[in-house]
Amino acid sequence: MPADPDREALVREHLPGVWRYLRFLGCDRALADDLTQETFMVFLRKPFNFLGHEPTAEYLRGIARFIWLEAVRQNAKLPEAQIEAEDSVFTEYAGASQGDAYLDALRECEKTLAGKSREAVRLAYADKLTQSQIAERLDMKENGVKTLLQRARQHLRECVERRVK
Amino acid sequence: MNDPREKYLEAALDELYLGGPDDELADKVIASNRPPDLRLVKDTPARRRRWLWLQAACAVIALGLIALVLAPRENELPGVIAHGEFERVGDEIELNAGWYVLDTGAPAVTSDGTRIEQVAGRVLVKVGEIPDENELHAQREWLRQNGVEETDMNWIKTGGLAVCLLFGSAVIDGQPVFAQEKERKRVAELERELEKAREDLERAEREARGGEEDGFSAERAERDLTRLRKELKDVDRKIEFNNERLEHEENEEKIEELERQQKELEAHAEHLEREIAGIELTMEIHGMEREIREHEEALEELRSELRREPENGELRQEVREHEEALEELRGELEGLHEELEELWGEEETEKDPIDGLEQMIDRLEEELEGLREAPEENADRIRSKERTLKSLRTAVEALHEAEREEMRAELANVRKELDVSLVELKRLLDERKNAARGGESDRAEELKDEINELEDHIRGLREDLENLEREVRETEEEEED
Repeated sequence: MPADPDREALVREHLPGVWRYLRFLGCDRALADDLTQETFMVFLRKPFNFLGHEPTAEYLRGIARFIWLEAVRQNAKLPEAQIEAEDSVFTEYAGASQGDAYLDALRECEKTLAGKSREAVRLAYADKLTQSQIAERLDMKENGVKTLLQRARQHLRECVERRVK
Repeated sequence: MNDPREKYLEAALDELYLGGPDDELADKVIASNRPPDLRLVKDTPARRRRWLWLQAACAVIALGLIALVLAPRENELPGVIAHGEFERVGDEIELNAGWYVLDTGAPAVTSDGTRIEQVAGRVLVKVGEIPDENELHAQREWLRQNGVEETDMNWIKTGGLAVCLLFGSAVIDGQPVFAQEKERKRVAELERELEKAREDLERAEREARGGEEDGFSAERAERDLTRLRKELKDVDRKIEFNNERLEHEENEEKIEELERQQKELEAHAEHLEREIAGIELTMEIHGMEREIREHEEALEELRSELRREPENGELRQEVREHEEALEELRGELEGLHEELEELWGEEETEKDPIDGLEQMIDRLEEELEGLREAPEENADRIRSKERTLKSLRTAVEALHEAEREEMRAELANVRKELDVSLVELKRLLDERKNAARGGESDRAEELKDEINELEDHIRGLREDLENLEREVRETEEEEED
């Protein structure tokens, strides 16, 4: 039986993983902040037996999922099968490091992108520009940007999967 | 986007560029679950005005802590100060009428289907509607006795209760609610006002210097220069003419009048020379900024070429030369800015923007007085100067107000922190007394160190308080003047 860490330590350990999970489910940053907070408020109120970090992460994701479903229930009907598929991808990708290893690998892989692809990815994700704005900035056609971004994402996915495995 | 793998990558890319959860989020969760700790007060960091929101939040916490320690309990319910009718239902309390203060550890309270539980902080509750000013006034004494401040209350109506979260958090009908947001919003609002005042000030300064509202116009600057140079030439001619008259004049009264005119003309000429120099410098600055931009663009291109051909020595040399030229230009630009600041007395303005603006107002008023001697001839200039004067006065007023508000908030915080520290000091002294009586000499010694530390902190607070009070007093006196 693992040693039982205190609840505060568990909050610090698992907060980034829960936040990432909520972002992955589709929450914007502010909503992810709010729902993460709610998740841990519920967690801190309930009796809890520590059985290890992975079961704790799963338990917390269960609370977060429930809160998220409550929050989006009015606006969207989500098929259960889709949620299950998403959950299994999250568990696989985030792994025991709760997403840290994936993020580190992504950081390295981003450096391997060629000039224009890298710039397009930065403009899309760091500067949040639309494809037409990126096209204007890079002096390209919109369709060209779309293809460029698709290829860049594919490269990143393959690269990250290789590194994480 | 249906592929969850793609979705995961998207979220990770966003986190890669824009960062993960706020570092403070975990602290926030933990703090809202932890009962308040009096000793934290000693660790309050140095006060700075830009941490106003933090101070405001601390002040509210401090206020609650005073109340926790000092407030008389009107009943035996832990964590509840009741001022009305209620019933115990098992571990819970059913509120029928009246006012209540719920502190950390209070049992769940219900009324007409509404439920407040998990109080971690302090909540003021009234059965019924949100109180109006008269109702609040009627409860003033009870609120004061229980350490509740009447200002800035944000009430919410939920079911049969009106609830005001004073600090911390509570779960109301299953939803966690936090008080901190209120303070942040208030301070954010203040900061926005201050920012607006700063923008007004910058705009007014630009206008006062004859600059364009939305940027520099070379054409306008040239026109102004021609006009000012012509005006200066006229003034110089008048000075020369007056000098000749002075040489031949024998009537003392006339001599006196001519000398007075001469002084005015010389001051005017000096002012015109300064304005001309200012415009010339501004033009030079804009030219140089353009040159720097061109160099930067060229350098950027060269650097990307160099990334493609990292072995190209010629390119590398060219990049180095451009970098050096750029560095030199930036140095020159800085020099020009300094010269311009000196010309307009901006160093002083930076130290205290209000003083700088007030000086500008004085200058403009003097100018206007002169212009109004020939109102028809100077109609356009009078209108323009009056507009500038109005903008400057608005900016000064806004800055004064923001400064006063900031100072008042800071003063209130220091007072509250001092109160809390004194309560804590009393508690430590009592504890030390008991430890000494109980023969726990080690504990007594430990407490002695804590007491000394706290006394130092209190001394610092008293000094801060004294300085702030003096500052507030001086500001009020200045306003009266």
